[in-house]
Amino acid sequence: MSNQKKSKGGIKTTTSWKNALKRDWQLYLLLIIPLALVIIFSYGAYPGLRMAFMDYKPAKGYAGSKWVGLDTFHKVFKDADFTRALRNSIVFNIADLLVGFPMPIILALILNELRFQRFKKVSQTILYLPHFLSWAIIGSVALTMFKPSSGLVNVAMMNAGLIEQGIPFLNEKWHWAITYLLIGVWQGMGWGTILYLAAITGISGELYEAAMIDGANRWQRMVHITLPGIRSTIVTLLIMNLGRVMGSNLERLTALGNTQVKEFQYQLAVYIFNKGIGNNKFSQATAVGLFQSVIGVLLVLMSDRIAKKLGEDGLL
Amino acid sequence: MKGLKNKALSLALTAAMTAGALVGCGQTASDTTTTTGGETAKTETTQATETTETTATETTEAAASSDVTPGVDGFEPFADQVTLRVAVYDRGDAGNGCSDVENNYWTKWVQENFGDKYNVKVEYVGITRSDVMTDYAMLASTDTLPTLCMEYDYDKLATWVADGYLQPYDLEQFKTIAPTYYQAMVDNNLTGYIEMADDNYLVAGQRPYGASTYTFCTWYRQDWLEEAGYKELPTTNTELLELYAKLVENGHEYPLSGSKVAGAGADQNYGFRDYPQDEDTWATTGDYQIPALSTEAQKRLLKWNNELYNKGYINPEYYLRSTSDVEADFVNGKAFQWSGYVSSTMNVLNTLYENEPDAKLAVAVCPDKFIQDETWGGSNAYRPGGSIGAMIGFANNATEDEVKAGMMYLEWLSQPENLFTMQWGIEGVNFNYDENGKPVAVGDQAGLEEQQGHNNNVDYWMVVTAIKVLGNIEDDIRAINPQGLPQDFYDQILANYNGQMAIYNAGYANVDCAFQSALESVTEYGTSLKEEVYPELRDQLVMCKPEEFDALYEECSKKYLDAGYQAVIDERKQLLDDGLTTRLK
Repeated sequence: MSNQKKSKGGIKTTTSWKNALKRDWQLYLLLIIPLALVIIFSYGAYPGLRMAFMDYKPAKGYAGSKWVGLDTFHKVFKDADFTRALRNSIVFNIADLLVGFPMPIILALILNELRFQRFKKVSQTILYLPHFLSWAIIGSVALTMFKPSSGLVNVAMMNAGLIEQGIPFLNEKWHWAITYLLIGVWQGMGWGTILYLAAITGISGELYEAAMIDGANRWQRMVHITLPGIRSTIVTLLIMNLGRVMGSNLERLTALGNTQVKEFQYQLAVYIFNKGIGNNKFSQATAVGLFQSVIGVLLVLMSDRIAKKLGEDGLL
Repeated sequence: MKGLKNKALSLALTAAMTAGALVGCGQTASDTTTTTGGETAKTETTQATETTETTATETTEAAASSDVTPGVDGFEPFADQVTLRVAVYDRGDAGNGCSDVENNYWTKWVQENFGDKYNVKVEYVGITRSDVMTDYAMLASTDTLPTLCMEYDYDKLATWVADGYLQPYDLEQFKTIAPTYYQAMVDNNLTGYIEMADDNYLVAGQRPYGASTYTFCTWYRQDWLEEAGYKELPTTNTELLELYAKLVENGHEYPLSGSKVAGAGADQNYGFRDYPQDEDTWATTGDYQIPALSTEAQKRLLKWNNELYNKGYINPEYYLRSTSDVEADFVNGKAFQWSGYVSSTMNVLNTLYENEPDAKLAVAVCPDKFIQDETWGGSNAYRPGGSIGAMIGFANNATEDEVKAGMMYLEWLSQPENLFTMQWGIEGVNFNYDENGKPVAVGDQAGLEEQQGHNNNVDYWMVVTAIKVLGNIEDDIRAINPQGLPQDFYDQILANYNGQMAIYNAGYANVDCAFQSALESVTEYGTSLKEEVYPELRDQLVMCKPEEFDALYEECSKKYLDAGYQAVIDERKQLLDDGLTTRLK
């Protein structure tokens, strides 16, 4: 007890490691598992980053491979495929953010307004189920459904006389871009609502009551109470999503890709996998991965600072 | 009686392996001189097609002069158990044998008959057939490469040598431990492949009948052909177009089916080249690994495909389809033709006859005269596999004893009786003798404990030979002739073989150029060119409007050359000029 500090009022503010462990050892024990996972699989892999500065050959290992400084980066930045992948990654991730980010918020607001609980629960479940489908399944279903001449959607529309020729939803780059983005929204929006709905439940009911007494209608309550109530959640998620602007989902791109849309589909994840891992160029893959992460961290830091300047709590 | 028959067959097999390989070499001339005064015999073999250091070799006799007994008779069990790890292809669903390639009746058989005898623990390491390089890279990075690393593609072995996967071996030691294996290499002119980067790195299995590709055939619907008013399959592109138009008229939509191109061997242009070939073009762009976009032959091939696409003979969604879709089209009676390896069990053909009992099939036969279409430039020239089968290297992490065990394994498997059992299995279970005393494989081995691996265990015995042989082409075709079908294809498969041999002997089928060292440009750009750049560009070319083709071809060629193909061409040309390649016949 001697080393425990007491504030002026006599309330303990700090505690020793020993006491903390004694008191909450079960909690610390439980924490060991995720902590070990992060240390082993995240930090444990860090020494491997040196591959980016080596001409790494698997059979020669770290000891036998040559150090090449920034040569790998020079090589990558000069590669036309890299430029294409970088351009696509940035454009599509920003587009994904623009289209995909507001959707869960809108959906959460709509769901929150539903008064019939059973319908609300059922539709919420239906909306977030796609999140559990793997991209391999979504990809093969989408490719089959959207085939230009024999896909279900096109055949149905042609039979109904709506179109004369099949629409190449996933077979022409501009069509693909839109379909790709919309499928992404469809897959992720339901899941995204969960956090917002949870945040909404934290808003005091008294605020709504007071607003109703003052004569605020539903729309006004939504705009002036619900939205400000979840603003910090929105900002946190936005910052987290900005960090992913350089990244992309290899499964999603591979599952929805084909040679006709490679011009747009070729993003950094594909570049890393095909050129790097598929081609046994581990140094190149690592260099691009490192580049991606560094930019991601910078973006997070930047958006966090902006958020703080705007008076939000920020993430860090 | 049975034993005698087996023995006789084993002997025939040895003779056949040599004879077959000689047939495969086409213009091979052997000159054997024996000096009576000394104890050594000198075998000198030269091959006209490949002039890469065909070595004058002192073989078994040389080894015999030392104290060590060469070959299997001299094998002694290791004092301490040695673990020998051997690579074996895992073909997954694409295979037609037992599912567990690392542990099955035959791996145990090898352990009992080879491993236990010499205190060696034989472990097989499954290698994903469709992703060989990644699997090897993963094994290399964890220092767990199998002692015997193997592949059919020289480029891959060259990359492994360059990347340090393999260790050089002592050729004299190999000659002593594996004289049978080494002699087969000498007899098949494969010793030129041993050396790489100034050291001895590789040993090579043989490919009997390497001058032809008779084990890979195209089946087509004879009933559709007759319905269209033809008796025989046309032999020129122009005539084929007329046929396809009639097939469509008769209600067969997209008769050629179609799937996306993938990996090595896609879009081979051998049938669109001019003959005799120009040596520079042959050496720099004539391989089957990296598609030769930017060449005249590839232009013709793609223009032909563009025509087939635009005329509606290929499924317009072919680039979304896999080879299994083509197979499905064929077995469901929606495709005119299908190509595949000939084997006694052919599920595709079985299913087709089940689905379409009235179907009448025929095998496409290579005409025995060279025919080239004037408009499209297509011909019946083809790519002969050459006399080399699988190439084997010893992993960098293998100990001296492990390398020795690897050599012993190769020699042991080269023994006719062991090779025969691995190839044919057990009499009455995996094969039966026909009335002429020749083995005939049991078509359906599913469910048997003794079920063999893919294509009668080929992935285990490929280290010795690429195909199994009995003695003459007739018997060899009979041995793989599909069983249990309403039609028999023996005559057509044989006719196709004879046609190909005529073409080969007339100089219209040339073995690819082989390079004596690893090509940096191929290591750097090869995979990306073949798996990424080419599929995208070729699909643009196949699907563009015919009038746009020529201009687009120019544009795509430039992109392809810039993406690394020019570097590949330049490096190959350099090696050709430096005399570090095989030469065109």
